[in-house]
Amino acid sequence: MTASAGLVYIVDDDEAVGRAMGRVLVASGFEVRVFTSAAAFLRRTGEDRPACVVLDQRMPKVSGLELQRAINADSALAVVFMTGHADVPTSVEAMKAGAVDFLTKPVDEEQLLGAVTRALERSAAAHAAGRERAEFLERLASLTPRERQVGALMVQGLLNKQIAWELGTAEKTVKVHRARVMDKLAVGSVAELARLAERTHTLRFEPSDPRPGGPREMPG
Amino acid sequence: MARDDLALLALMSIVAVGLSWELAEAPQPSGGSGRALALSLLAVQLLALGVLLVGRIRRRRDQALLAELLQYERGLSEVLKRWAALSPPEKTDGLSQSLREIAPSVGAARLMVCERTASGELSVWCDLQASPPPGGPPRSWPGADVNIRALEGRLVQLPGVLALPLRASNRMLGVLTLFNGDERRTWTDEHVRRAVALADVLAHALLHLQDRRGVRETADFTRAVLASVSGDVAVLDDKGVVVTVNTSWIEAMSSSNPTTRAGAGMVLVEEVKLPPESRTRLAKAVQSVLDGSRPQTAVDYSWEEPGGQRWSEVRIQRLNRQEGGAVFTHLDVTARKRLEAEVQRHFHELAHVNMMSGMGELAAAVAHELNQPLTAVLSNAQAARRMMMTPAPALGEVREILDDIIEQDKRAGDVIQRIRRVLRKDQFDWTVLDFNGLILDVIRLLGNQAALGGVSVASTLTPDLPPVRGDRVQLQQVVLNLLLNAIQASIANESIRKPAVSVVTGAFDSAAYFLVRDSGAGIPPENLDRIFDPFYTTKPDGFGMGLSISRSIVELHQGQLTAANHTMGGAEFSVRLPAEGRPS
Repeated sequence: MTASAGLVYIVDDDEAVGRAMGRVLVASGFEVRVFTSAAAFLRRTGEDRPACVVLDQRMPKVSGLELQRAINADSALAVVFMTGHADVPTSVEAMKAGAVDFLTKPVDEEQLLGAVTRALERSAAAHAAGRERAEFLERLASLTPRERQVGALMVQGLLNKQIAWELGTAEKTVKVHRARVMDKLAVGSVAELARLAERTHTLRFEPSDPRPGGPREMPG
Repeated sequence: MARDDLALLALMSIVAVGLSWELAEAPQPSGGSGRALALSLLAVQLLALGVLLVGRIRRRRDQALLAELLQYERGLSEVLKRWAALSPPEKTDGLSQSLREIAPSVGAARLMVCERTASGELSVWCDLQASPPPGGPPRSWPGADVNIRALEGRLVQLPGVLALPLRASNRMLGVLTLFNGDERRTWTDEHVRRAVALADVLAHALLHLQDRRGVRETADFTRAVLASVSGDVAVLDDKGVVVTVNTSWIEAMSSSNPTTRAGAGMVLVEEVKLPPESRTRLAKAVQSVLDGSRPQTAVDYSWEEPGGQRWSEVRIQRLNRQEGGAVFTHLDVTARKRLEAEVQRHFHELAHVNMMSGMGELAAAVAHELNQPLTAVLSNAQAARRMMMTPAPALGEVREILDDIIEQDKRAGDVIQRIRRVLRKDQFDWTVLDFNGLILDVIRLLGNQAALGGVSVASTLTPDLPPVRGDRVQLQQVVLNLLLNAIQASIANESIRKPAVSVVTGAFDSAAYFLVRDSGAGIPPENLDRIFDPFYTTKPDGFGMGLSISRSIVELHQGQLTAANHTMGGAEFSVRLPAEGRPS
């Protein structure tokens, strides 16, 4: 097996069922890890890669829906649900909570593969976004407070002169800060910076920042 | 009269002739012939005088008689007028006055009217002295026996007293008694004739009065009775025409009630605004009572109102009188019916829920328990198929998969075994049962359910069935299930006009059997083999467990539950249970 079609976790308290469904996925080229309880699944060693989890909705102790909420909290994992009988309220809640699909047991292989494939696509997208965000945040942390202020004003589209006025420094100093921000954050343009800032909800100008400069026009 | 006058004249003539004769015979000193002539003249004079005298007396008497006659005629018409104006409660002042005035014209100083009471006694209705009393006050009471004799229908005429029966329409109503104030004086024919005429007038007046009084009393009584009766009451004559109604009926006439629409003079049934079926049923019931084929009957039916369904109960009771007729009572029994239906529904739901909750839990458990191995089997098989499609299948793994499939299949088999064990024999409460009684209980339980759906349940229970041994509750659930199915199938079959379910019990070959046949559409022949399968159902909300469990229960009793389509239509289920004591 050269390239895996993706990583799939199966969580079902019935070991025989998990194993059998795992076999279907393995035979289709997926990498499969089977867990027989929610607790065991949550204890897994993290693998930082796109993955999907096929959850049995009816499990003792922790229900599938509860586990789904735990997963959603901090993960790019995509969830596919399985149930013995698909009752409408549970399905709706699962889909609202972000489940990719809701399968009824016994699960036909085509449905299983289709659902898993869609889930992995979504996970890959989420994972990529997550990685981008993580890297950006890491870089952002290397900025000095002054560079952060300059970066925030850059994102707002202010010119060097305006930034200098805002911060009460010389335009020349701002120029240097600007170059460092671009370099440290590994962005090629202000537009790219603005996009990343928006996606990560970072680099917002903090009004409480010290503004030693001259008087500033107040709105209204 | 003329006779009296002639007699008087003759008497006077005789006196005159006799006198003349005596004078002529007597010795006369101055010539005999002259004296005879004088005597003749005297006699003639006397005769003429007598004639004059008689004429005067007669004229005076005639005048008196005429006055009396006029008084009588006037009095009689006055009596009539007073009587006619008389209405209960009787105000007799005017009448008494007119009777007092007429009394002398019938030769009476005292006049008494006695009325015959219901018990046959006489009660004095009025006792009057004439004004002015012609012969002074009456001296004595001649005794009651004249009245009693008169009451026997004869005119009793005695000196001083005249008693006349008051009779009209062949009914003896009382006695008119006249006293002339003199126990020795007899009654003239004229007075008797007038008295008879007066008695006739009085009799008819009394009849009229009694009738009116009776009508009034009857009407008052009837009104009071009708008003006190709960419900809307109409009294019908023999043609079904409304004679009278009570106040409740009148109030109901202005409501939307489809039954209480006819007023007095209308044919009740013709005014009824019910659907044809109910209307026909009502009309037939009314007719059956009116034509005397039934003394009484009751009909109930429902009708629609904007506020919802309402129920009416009608009772028709034959009037016990020669002319016939009936009392028609309408009651709005909606509240009662709703309560009954509610109680029945609740009761039935309990019975049903009791069965269904057990089945529902069982079904859910079965679903999950079977689903897991089925899921494993399916996925394993599909995985194996995929693996076999690769160029070099890992046969060792395929063998593992096959082992798993076998194991999961066994697991599913165990689930089935466990379900069987849920209905274990030792959980039953085994007793010796009266099969008929058990079935009757269920029929009663479902009676209202059937009635609400318009399904008639006919039972032919063979007496002295051999007793069977089993669990009462479990067998009741079987019967309940079969009967409920039959009722529902009959209701669902819209091509049947009169949905009916028949229940038959009997004994055959040392077994008791129970047959229930419905008027439903029957079981499609291709499904006859499947209807006892679990989860097979034709009902949209059915579990498909009823017949399956029923058959299990019957089999645990060493009996058989079978289904067939009846040749005359509908499905027929039969339960056979071995008789108690039969070696099994």
